[in-house]
Amino acid sequence: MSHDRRIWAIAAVLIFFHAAAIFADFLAPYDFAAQDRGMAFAPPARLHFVDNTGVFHLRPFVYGIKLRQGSLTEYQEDRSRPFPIRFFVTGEPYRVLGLWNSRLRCFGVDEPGRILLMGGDGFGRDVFSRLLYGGRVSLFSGLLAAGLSLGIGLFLGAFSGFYGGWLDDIIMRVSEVFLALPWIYLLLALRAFLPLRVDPADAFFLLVGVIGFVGWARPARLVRGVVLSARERTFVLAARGFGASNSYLLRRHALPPALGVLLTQAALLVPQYILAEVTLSFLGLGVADPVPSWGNMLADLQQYHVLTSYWWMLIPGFALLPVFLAYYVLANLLHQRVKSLVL
Amino acid sequence: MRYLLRRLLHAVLVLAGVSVLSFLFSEMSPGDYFAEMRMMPQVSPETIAAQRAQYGLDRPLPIRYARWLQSVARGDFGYSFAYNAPARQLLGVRARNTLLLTGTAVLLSWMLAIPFGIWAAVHRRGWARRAFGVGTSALLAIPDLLLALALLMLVVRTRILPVGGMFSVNVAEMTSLGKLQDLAAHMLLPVLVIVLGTLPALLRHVRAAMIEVLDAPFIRAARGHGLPENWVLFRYALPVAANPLISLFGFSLATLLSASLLVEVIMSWPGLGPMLLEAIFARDLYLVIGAVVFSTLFLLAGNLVADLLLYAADPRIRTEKA
Amino acid sequence: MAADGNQDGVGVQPLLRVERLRKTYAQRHPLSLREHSVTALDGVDMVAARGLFLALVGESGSGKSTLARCIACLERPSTGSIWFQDTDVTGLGESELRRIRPKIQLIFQDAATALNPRFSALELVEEPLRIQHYASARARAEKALHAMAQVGLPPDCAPRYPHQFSGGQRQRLAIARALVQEPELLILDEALSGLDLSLQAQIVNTLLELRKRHALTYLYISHDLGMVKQVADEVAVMHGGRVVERARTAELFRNPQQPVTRALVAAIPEIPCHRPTARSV
Repeated sequence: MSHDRRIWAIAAVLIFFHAAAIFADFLAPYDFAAQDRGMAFAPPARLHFVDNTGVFHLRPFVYGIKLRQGSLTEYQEDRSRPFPIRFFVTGEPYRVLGLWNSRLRCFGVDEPGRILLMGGDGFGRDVFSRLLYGGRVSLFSGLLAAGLSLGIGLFLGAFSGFYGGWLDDIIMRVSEVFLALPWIYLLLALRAFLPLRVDPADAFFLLVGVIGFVGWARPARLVRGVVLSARERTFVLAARGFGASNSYLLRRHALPPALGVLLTQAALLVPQYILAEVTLSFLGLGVADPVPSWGNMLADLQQYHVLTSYWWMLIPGFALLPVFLAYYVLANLLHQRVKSLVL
Repeated sequence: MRYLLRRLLHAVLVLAGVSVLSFLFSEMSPGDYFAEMRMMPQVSPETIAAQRAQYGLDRPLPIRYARWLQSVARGDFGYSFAYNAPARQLLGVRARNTLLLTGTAVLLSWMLAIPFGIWAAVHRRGWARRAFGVGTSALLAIPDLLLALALLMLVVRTRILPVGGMFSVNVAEMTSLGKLQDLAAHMLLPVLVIVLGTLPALLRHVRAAMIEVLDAPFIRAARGHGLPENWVLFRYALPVAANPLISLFGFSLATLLSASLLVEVIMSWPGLGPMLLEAIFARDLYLVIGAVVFSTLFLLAGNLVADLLLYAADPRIRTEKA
Repeated sequence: MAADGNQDGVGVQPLLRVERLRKTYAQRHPLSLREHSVTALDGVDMVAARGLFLALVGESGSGKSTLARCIACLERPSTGSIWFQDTDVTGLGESELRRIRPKIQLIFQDAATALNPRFSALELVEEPLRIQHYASARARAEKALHAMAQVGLPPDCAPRYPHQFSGGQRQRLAIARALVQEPELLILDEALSGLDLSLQAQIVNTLLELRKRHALTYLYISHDLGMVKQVADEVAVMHGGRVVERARTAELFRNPQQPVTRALVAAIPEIPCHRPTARSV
């Protein structure tokens, strides 16, 4: 596959992940806050194709589960009644794009059955559904925060590199201070100085702001480097000779080479920022229950009994793997592509 | 010599900048330790005001900063309201523990990265290159959080190692050797996680640096003179590759410290990480600032060590004028 | 190839007049307190009439490039003045300078770095027009293609990128780019030095053509006296930041006055074979 094709292919994979999160309302059988105490820490549902009597059904089905006699943690299947999986069912209502109501869900089972594809958490909430909804927070906070960092970095780096002088000195010194700190410490410190309890809507933007703000230094220095070297080129001098203004020179000559570098940086930055959100939420400083984030879904695992007995609670962590891999491969491809460009 | 002085001055300035930044941030914070107290009806506003005055929290910002700076110079990092103890004590112990963990992790990762990186650079063709690329990519993609939790899960289920904290409960009864063994056993998992997290990037950098040097003309000349391969590798190539690697060392410290924070929290290692977290929840802002400044101190110290090594290793820096 | 149309007559205002131009660069090492200054131009006086092909020669470091950049208003002199058509350009602000800039154009030595590799040939030649907000996109393109045609670049070159051109073609692009602004003074700062002789000859012929057509004045900076001897009307010799000698070409080569000039003239390689001179086209 040609190089560019590979880039688009990987981009498509990433778009798929993000689309799954956006369409969580449709794809998830249950709302993220829907509890069922009777299924606390239920294991992932087993799909069956063959029923009790040995008959094969094309349509898979699940059995209801209940606690085994005398146990508080182990479940067993109740084979008395199968619940076939149906598609395009009516579930809990939601708003599409905040505009109109819908109740259509991709798949589900009839009441009183519950299909927990990836098991249930401490409150019996469906991990699969919460994974999809949580993707909204985790994936997009990383994306937006990266955008913020790169935006600030582009702006400051361009000014710093192009105009030089005392402005450049100040910006560089400040960036060194930001880079001097181990970033998690910086992140936590900044988060520490903000209100502890924030409602979920604000929490998301707060997180994006903090994470994005913390990371402006490296992109800024990168952009500054590119702009600085571009500024010294003869063609910039020639353009001055045509009467070009500073803003024109920046826009048309100094910045375009920086964009390629920034794009590669973006692909590397987003997974780091997703991890930052996940870490903050895991530590209790990010998005709070009941709104799911892959981070706060992992928080329960800090209790040993959860860690040892309920392996499916680790799934949100594993969900990070394909996302990260995709971003790293993209970064690699972009890096090679940018290198091959002239200048 | 001037080079070293310049680096030292630079480090001090950065540290000062960090402390100022922390202070500025803390000013924006909407509450202090006494916010909780204010909500309690039985505590009168006068008491709170008196407490604040006692801790100097009612003075304007520049004065608070100046006072803080003075006390830090004396070695006094303020008082932790949450722990009811001088911050310095707490910071000292926790810092030592973090240093132990990160120091061991740094040593181990470099001890692994250098030989394997060199090997990967020497055998850069064929299957080795593919395996290396895939291996490091795979490891790189695994977030520390997942690695820590997954390995912890494994260890707790199989009970191979003790987990949680630095020592076992009955450590007081052990012999010195026993204590050491106990410490090592507790350290194994956290160090392993940190090393696994930082190793892939390090390996790549070592390999890249070595490859760049091995392609240089002077290496070809050395080989052409008939020098044995090992000699060429270790006496010619490695010292030149050391320059970017030493710079990398300083650079990698930041990642290591960040990685260690999460690992400490998850595995209950009593370092700066868990303390920072608790201080945040308790709104103990002086402690937060102290922890941040300490971690920066480590980082800067590590960078200075790297600068020293660079000075010793690279003759070009020694003879640089001004 | 001596020039005609050279108005050296009394009473005609010269196109360009440089008076007592000085340019010093201050170099401050960031950590030391010493200030070390370099004097690039040390009182240059020069006059050029319209239509003149004036060569500026001198060894490296004599200040030729600095003078070129000052005249092209790319650098500000420390003291002195530059008069272009009765206007003192050294005193002008940037916005006023913008009106003058199209008239004085500088062609750099290395066309590869003077052309942004990300721009196509058409975009490059059009760029000055874009900056000056000239008419519409179509009018700009037409003008650009016309300029390219004048230097011998066919329209099918327009979408190509600099790296797809040869060195000589790149330099022609640079000239087209200058031409598109209808300049009156064209400064060539060692613009032909990187090219082989036949290419140089071709481009010089083109330049002479253009001079006839557009009444251009050239300031031709070079260290290649062989070419200068064949092409220029007058020659000015620079040394140590000043013009030390100035004469009509034939006179200068026949009777160099200054020791510097004599050294330069003596250094011209003479091919001891029979004439005629290389009238390569």
